[in-house]
Amino acid sequence: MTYGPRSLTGALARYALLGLTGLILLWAVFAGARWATSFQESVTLQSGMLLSREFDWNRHGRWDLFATNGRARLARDVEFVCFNDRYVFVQSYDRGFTGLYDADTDSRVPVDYSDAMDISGLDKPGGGCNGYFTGWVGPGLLLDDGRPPFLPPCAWRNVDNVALRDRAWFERPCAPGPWPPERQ
Amino acid sequence: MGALSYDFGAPYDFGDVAFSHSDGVVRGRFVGRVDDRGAMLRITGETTFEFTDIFEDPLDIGIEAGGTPYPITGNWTARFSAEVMKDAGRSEYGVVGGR
Repeated sequence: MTYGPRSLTGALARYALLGLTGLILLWAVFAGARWATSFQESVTLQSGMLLSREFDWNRHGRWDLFATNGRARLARDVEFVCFNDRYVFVQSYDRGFTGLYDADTDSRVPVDYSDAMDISGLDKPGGGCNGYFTGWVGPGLLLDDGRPPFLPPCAWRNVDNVALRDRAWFERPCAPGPWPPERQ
Repeated sequence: MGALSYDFGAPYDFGDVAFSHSDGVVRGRFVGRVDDRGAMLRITGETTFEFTDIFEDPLDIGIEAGGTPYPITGNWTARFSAEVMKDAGRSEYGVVGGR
């Protein structure tokens, strides 16, 4: 048998290729599972309205606002929210969805920004938000199991607004440290 | 009219910068003012941005395959100046709830 050594080399190469393929498949299964579960993230606001991360081919996922029944989509592509026990003002990448949403009617309130902030009690003189946070916060920072750096600054917790009923909300994880960021 | 200030923060996907990036967090504060210019509003100010991320889980499987995660941070400022219509209905950018 003159081809013995070549066969051994070939067999080793085949096993190596098989092992590599197996590793790649294993990685694909784990990474795919993590990717898929990332689209099951959601945040239920005090009002009962729901922010949910949705699959989107053109973006790395997007956040949508749903009515209190959890099914009717009210707004797409949410970047920031300002919210209290009844209302949420949404800043959307799609300006058509930017506006105030009322959980009592599960619909958008057809008023401009200034009136929206006034009637909802979300207005903070001089700017900002007078809801559960004083800043405009992205839904991805509101997850129940949020980890640094995906947390809102602790300094944004609007504990001074005594009208807010869900005081336990202020016990959620937040990012300690100085605020605002220092200028360079 | 007068002084205007607000804070903001959200995760953003930086995968377009480099594949190895995923979500990072940008937070910041805008400090400026709004002045009356007849039919227009003039908005000027400066935004301080802060970027935070952690380099971890390079295999994206939920475990650290060797190495130690480390934070990536940075901050910067940018000036802002704009004139916008008072009547949002006259602006292609300003209509709220105008679908």
